[in-house]
Order: sequence, then structure tokens, then C-alpha cells
Amino acid sequence: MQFFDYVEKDSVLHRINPSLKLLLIMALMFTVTFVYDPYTTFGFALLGMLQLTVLARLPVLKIFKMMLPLTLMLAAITITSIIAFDVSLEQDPVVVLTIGNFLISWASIMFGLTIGLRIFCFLIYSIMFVATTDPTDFILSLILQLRLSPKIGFGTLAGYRFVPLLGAEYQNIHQAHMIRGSEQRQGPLQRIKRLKRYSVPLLVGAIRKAQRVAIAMDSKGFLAYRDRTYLRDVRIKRSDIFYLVIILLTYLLLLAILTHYGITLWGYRSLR
Amino acid sequence: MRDPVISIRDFSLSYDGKHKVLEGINADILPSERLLVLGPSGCGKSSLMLCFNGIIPNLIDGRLGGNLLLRGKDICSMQVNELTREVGIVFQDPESQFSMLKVLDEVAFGLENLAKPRDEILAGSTDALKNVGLIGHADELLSRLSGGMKQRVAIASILAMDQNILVFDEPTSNLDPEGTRQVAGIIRGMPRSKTLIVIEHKLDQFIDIFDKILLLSGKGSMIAYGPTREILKKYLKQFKDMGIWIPQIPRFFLRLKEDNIGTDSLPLNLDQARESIKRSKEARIIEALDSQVQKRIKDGSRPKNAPAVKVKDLSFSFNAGEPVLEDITFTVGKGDFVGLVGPNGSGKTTLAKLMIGLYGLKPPSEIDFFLPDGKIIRERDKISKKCGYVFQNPEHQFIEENVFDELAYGLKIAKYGQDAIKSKTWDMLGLLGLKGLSASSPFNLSQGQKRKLSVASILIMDHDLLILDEPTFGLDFAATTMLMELLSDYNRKGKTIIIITHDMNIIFKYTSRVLVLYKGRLAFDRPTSQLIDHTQLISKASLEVPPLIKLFKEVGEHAVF
Amino acid sequence: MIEHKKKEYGYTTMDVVMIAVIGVVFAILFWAYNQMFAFIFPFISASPITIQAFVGFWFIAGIVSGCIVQKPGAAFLGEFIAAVISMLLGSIWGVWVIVSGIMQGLGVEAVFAAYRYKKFTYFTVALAGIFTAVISFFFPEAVTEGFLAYRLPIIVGMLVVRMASGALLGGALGKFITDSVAKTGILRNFKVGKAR
Repeated sequence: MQFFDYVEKDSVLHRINPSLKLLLIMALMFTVTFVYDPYTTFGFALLGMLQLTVLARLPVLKIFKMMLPLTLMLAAITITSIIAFDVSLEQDPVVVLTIGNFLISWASIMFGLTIGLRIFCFLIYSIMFVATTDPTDFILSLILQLRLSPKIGFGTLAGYRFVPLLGAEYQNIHQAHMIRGSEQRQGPLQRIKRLKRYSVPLLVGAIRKAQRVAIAMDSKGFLAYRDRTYLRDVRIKRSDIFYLVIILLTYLLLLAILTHYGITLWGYRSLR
Repeated sequence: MRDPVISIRDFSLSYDGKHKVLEGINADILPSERLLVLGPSGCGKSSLMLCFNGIIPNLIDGRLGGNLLLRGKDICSMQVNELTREVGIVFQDPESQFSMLKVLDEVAFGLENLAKPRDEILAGSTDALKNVGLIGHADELLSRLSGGMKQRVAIASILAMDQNILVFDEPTSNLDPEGTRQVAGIIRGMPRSKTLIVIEHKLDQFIDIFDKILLLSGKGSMIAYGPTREILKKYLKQFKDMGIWIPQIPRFFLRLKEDNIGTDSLPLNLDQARESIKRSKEARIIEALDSQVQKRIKDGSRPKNAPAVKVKDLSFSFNAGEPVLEDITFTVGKGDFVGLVGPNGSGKTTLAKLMIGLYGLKPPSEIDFFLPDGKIIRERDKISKKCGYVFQNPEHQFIEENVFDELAYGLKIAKYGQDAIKSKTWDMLGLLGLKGLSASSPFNLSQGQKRKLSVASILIMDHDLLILDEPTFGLDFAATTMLMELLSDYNRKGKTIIIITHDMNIIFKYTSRVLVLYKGRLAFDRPTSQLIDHTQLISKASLEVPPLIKLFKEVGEHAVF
Repeated sequence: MIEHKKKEYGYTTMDVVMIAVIGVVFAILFWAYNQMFAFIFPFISASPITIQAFVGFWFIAGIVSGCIVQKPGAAFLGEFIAAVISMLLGSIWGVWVIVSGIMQGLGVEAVFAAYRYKKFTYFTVALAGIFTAVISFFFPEAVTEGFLAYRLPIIVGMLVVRMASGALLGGALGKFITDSVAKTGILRNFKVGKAR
């Protein structure tokens, strides 16, 4: 079972405070959802890839190869959006194609491309976060900078520790059920039934482990003292602020230029 | 006399107020004493451990009766953080006692909880890691370590907190022989300043370190408390009745004593046994040893049978990665009982899964599966219908909601008639002694019953070949014996069995042939009885020869009288 | 076997780790769910309405952890943790998975809270699934995927199918799984296991 994972190395992005990185990415991804033209959206995607290669020094080509099956999904979403777009929003649609009662206008296509590229952005920026953020630092940062309760933070970390183990267990359950002959029928209903058959042994095993882990944590005095200390030094440094300002300025500059030339469209109502 | 660190006076524990989990326990544990707590599974040993550091009753509800005093102070009146500074626990399962991802973070966790300053945390954690020999692994992910290394991290994380009383709750029972050796070595080398309380049933490695034994019955009441040798001598029968594994060396000498052979002081480990034999110079000891060892090694000289599976030139890797298996060729005969052994990561499970057709093969690798009529099948998907495979974790193969349906499941898939399914399933339930539990959830059974059920749900299909992946892992002595007898019966019916295990007692006692895998290659393929002569292979592949056989090899063959 | 001490207004370590592993299990199952239907999704997602039939499963982490722990916030926390882990395992929705997780968690939590964490029947969980389906449709999904620019009949069709999916694949399936887990006796420490 191959999950996406943290890539351990040293780079500019690796050194940025996780909470700050997350909030910045969230802000950018929030902004991009108001953009309704493919050009600006593409600009966001481009800047994202640039950061992946230059600032995170990740093997972008290899990552995209891994993500290849997802392009099918992106294509499907693009087509869906083109078809589903409400042409009546436009005052004067430029019709490109008519299928029965359905009109596909130039704006439909622009809308579809925007949505497809937008989701591509979501993908790139999440890779940027996940690949460059040590999960332990991430949780500690949520506790120390964003005031997440340590109980929830460490509980989540304890749970996250089980990901590889539970992934392997999933595989084993799949194989065990396969040889016992329960995987022969492949209809959607069978697949849903299978979800139940997989989830019960996974949950039972995981819950048993959770109970043991909780006892082990309590035995080591977890939260027995109000102010616990931390070995790892996770805080916001001056370089983090510097990075934040540079990135914000870059994106503002992009938006300013594109708006100046009338390329950036804000909100779906601008698609007319 | 020194004051006890922990005194237990007429102690009892109950979770629901009615049913007592522990009862009538009396003991005085002295500073730097090493106490072994023994009892059959489900006797409340683990609950007792959780009382020592106040998890019960502070965090888990429980009604305590009598007194449990830590340095004269009632544990119930103490806060968890006070107790955390005194008592540390290492738990059984290396997979489920960590909360952090990396080694150093885990070892630091306890000190962080105690709110120590950063430099103290770093110094304490580093020292602890040095003590268990893992300082070079500080920055590694826990998930990448072997079971033995994980347990050593667990010990380090307790050592870092520098408590005086250390509790070990079956620290080696989930480990392979190599891991057991590592952990037993560390426990053996603990500084004398610490008081050790250990629950364990795999005792061959370190029974000799204990000063005293606290023996509990299956119902959680105290049977005895006293010096190790005395308890072993006096309560041999109770040990046997409760299905507790008695370490081989003392057990052998106790048996001798019943026949009035042997020496006064009971040997506990190999060195003492050797000494004792030298001193007594009784030829009868060697004779007895010889007959004991013969009983333990199955005679491998069987007539050559028709083949059941032929593996030829097998090499395999996952997704074009590093080869997991290389150039493996062997044949398993019909009716063979074959042991497949080797260190963790040597490719045993992958080989077994290949044999039942779970993964595809690339030429020239070949696996031929022979039907009873001699026909050969090679199609991977057809093979999986013809042989049974029991997974390591029984829960992974449970499909149905209750025990009856679970057993009947395979028969239903194979399209047996209603009546046949019913009678076969009830027969099997009777054989397992699970009739009363036919309606309960498979997950609700005890560890031993779960394993029985998972094996039986495959046995019931009457496959000619059965492969089992560590079927006795984590089981106590009684459950292990029961399961192995069930398999022996099946084997006597002419069925072929291949068993993956780390337990060399099982290998010597039940299997007729052993395959040793080492680094993905087949290093040994001969009758089991010949394995003990290959000492180099045994240490290379970190197999553990049972101590009695070791003793026999050492003194039996060179005995001069 | 063991009864964990109830701190009525707080969570024990055990509660939190339990909720976290439930989140992790479902994050893995979400991942598997994607793989399982990976070859179908592109075809059905070409029709915006049919793809909605599959969304209910994403609410299941909240339903199950809510039904098991039965304390205020459990449903929200379970769904939220599942979402955070989902993002870490890799998802094309990226950071929006977290936002979705928050909204879906709030949706399930709201319904359980309305029943004062006392009723966890097929009816209430179905209601939780439906309510969650509706609110998470408008935020964040309508925003991220631009649903509001869709033709009205399509929007209505999507909503109806989504609500049904929320009730069945989220609510009912979640309750069914919880009951099966409770039957195994592993939840003796928790209210849901004691009711039996």
C-alpha cells in the first residue's frame, strides 16, 4: 500500500514553520476558489510547481508520474463542469456546441478549465505541504502555535503512528478474504459490503491498540503535569516571517498584473 | 531487614464490584529484588501491574480491597504524577505502546511529561538509548525497527524517567528468538539498584535472574509466594495443571528428582546444569537426558512420498524492487509436516503466500501444485482454492458475524448442501469445544479460541495442503499444545502441513522436515533431527535451540564416565 | 473488562486515542475506497449527479466515532482527524479536505447534539447523514467546485442523490459498522458497549 509521505531532506520549505505553511497554503487555496478564469488559476499552479522544484527541491516529474491516474479524474471533473455550467448566467453566450437542449458556450469551456486547473492547484499545494512537513513537527506546531489541546495533538500523533501498520493490515485482510473466496463478485453493492467486512477487523484491532497505547501514555505521566515541556524546538522564526512576506508579495503581484490587463475574473457571476 | 518498597496485604481487585479479578494477594517486595509473576493467561497479572502505578484506580475504574503500599504509603491516596516518578511499565506489544513516530521523541516523551528542561531531556534520553545500545538509531522511525529493537526503545523510554521500580509485562512474548535474546539480555543487565517485577511465560532465557516467584491461579488468587527454586520444586504439579510453561532445564532436573536422581541445588540455566551434571557424575542423568531429547525430536526418516508441491528456481521481488527470494528449489512430499524458519525479514511469509498463489510469478520461477490424483496445476488463482492458508492474525480472516457462520462460510462458498454444512460445522465445533459459543462474535473469543477458530475454519475445508503463518504467536503453553495436537491429527490423516514459526520447540517436536530461509535464500532443507548438527547455520539464522537439546549436545555426546 | 474513569466534561487519553485511530482507520478506508472505485469514478463523475451517490461514505468517520464515544465533540473530532490524516496520505482536494472534514464533522455533531448525545438510532444517524450532506454541499464543495454556476435542475438532482447517500453510506452503514464492532465486546469500556 503506497501512501503519499513526508520526504525527509533539508530545503527552504522544509524549514518553514508547519502551522504558518499550512495557513498560508489555505489562504492561497481559499483565494483561488474566487478566481473564475483559467489563466490566473494556471498562474497559481505554475507558482506552486516553481516552489516545489526550487524551494522544496522535490523530484517533480517523479511525483507527477505517481499522480498519473489522477489526471483521468481531473479530466472528468473538467468535462463535468463544462457540461453542468449554467449557460443562462451569460447575457450573450458564444455557443460552441449544441447537444440536444444543451448549449456549450465559450464561457462553459473557460469554467470547466478553471475548475480542472483549480483542483490541480489543490493537489500541487497539498503535495507541497505533505512532502516538506515532518508530521511530528506539524502536530507540535499545531499545539504550540495554534493552541491545539496537547491531549488531542498527541492522541492524533499516536493514531497517525498506526498508518503503516493498519495499511499492512488492510492488505492482509484483503488477501485473507480473497483466498476464502469472498471477493469473487465485483458489483457496487458487493464492494460496499466489502467495506463493512474490512472495516470491522481493522477497527477492532485499531481500538484494542488504542486502548493499550492510551494506558502506556498515561503510565508515562501524560498530562500529569499541567505544563509539559518539549524536546523539539518548534516556533516561528524571523525567516518564517520573511518567507511569508515574499510569498504574499509574489501572489499579490501576479494578481495585480493580471487584473490590470483584465484577465483575472472574480466570482462565477463574472463569467458573462 | 530492609523495608519493602511495595507491600501487598490481602489485596483484591474487582472491576464490576461483584466478580473479583485478583484475590488474597500478600507479598513484600524488597528494594532491588527481582520478582517473577506467574499464572495462566487471564489470571489478572496485567491488572496487578496497572495497580502498581495507579493507572487502576486513578484512570481506570476498579475497586481495590486490602492494602497496596508503596514505601509505606497507600497507592490509592497518591496522585498519578507522584507514582509516575516511582514506577515504570514496559508493555507486551511492541506495536502499541508508543505515541511518537521517532525513537528519540519516544524516549523523551516521559521526561517531557515530567516537565523537565530541554537539556535535561536530551541528556536523559541519550543516556537511556546508550544503555539499550540504540543510540545510533535515535533519529529513525519506530516503524522501521524490528520487534526486539522496539522493545528496547520501550525499555529506554522507561529508563529515561529513572524510576526505581520497573515492571515488565510479558516483554518478550511477542518477539522472535533474536528479539527475545536482546531484551532478555537487557533485563538481565539492569542495574541492581532497580526493583524488577516481571510477568513472562517464555522463561528459558532468564528464569535464573529471579529471586522470588509470585504464583497466581487462573482465578487470580495467590497460590504461593517465595524463592524461585522453592516454588518450582513445590508447585510443579500446579504449573502443569494450569498449563504454565516450566523452563526446560529446571523441569528436567525436577523430573530426575522424582526418580531420586540428581543434585541438591536445582539448576536454572545451562551453566548451572552443566556444573551439576559434572559434579554428580551420574550416568543416569545422561540417559534420562538422552531419552528426554529423543522424545522432543521427531523422527524424520519417512518413506519418500509423492510430491505435494514442487518449487523450482523461484525468485521474487515486489514491484521490481530488491529481491525478496532468490533461486529457491525444494519439494514438499504428501503428508509431510514441514517447518519453515528463519529470521524476520528472510522472506518466509512471502514464500508461503507465493505457494498458495497470492502473487504472480515470472519465469523461470515455477511452482507446481499436485492434486491427489497426481495432476499438476500451475494457475495461481486455481491453487488458492485447493490449499488452505492461515494468516498470522486470526482476526484478519474473520468474515462472518458469529462463530457458526464463520466455520460454515467456506463450505457455503464451496456450495455444499444445507445438511452437510450443518453436520460438518457442528462436528467441528464439538471437536474444538466451542459448541457453547456458536452464536457469539468471533472477535469476542479468547486469544486461544480465536486462533482455534481461524485454523478450524480452514481445516473444515479438508484441503490437502495447509500453510500456517506463526499459528502459535502470542499463545500460552496450554493453547499452543492444544493447537499443535489438532494439527498433528490432521497431518496423521495424510494431509500436508507447512508451518512458519519461531518456536523451535514446535519445530523439533512436531515437524519432520525443516526449511531454513536466510536472506531470501534456502539455507537448509533436511530432516529436522539433522538441524542441531548445523551450529553455524543456527547462530547465523538466529534460531534458538531449546536448552535441553543444547545441554544434550554439550554434555551428552562427550560424556566420559 | 476495564472501565475507564468517566470525566463527564472531559476526555480521557483513551477517548482521544480511540477517536484518533477511528479517524486513521477511515482515512485508510477512504483511500482504499478511492482505489476501489478509481476505475469507475472518472466515468460516473462525468455525470455530476451520479458521483454524489458516493459522497456519503466520507461522513462515516464522524458517525462511527460519535456513536462509539458518545461524548460532545467526538463526532466532530473523529471526522476532523480522518480529514487531516487523509490529507497527509495524499488527496487531490488538498487542504480543502481539512475544511470539508470540519464542516462534515460539524454537521454530524449538530444532529447528535440536538438529541443531547442520548439517541444513536438508525433514524438519528440517517438524519445526521442527510444534514451533513446538505451543509457540506454548500460549503466547501459548492465553493471549491463552483456548483453555484451549474444549471438549477442539476443542482437539485445532485442534492437529492447526495442526501440519500449521506443517509445510507454515511449514517446507516456507520451505525451498522458500529453495532458490529460493539458486538465483538471490544467496547465494554464505552456506553455503546454497555447497552448490550
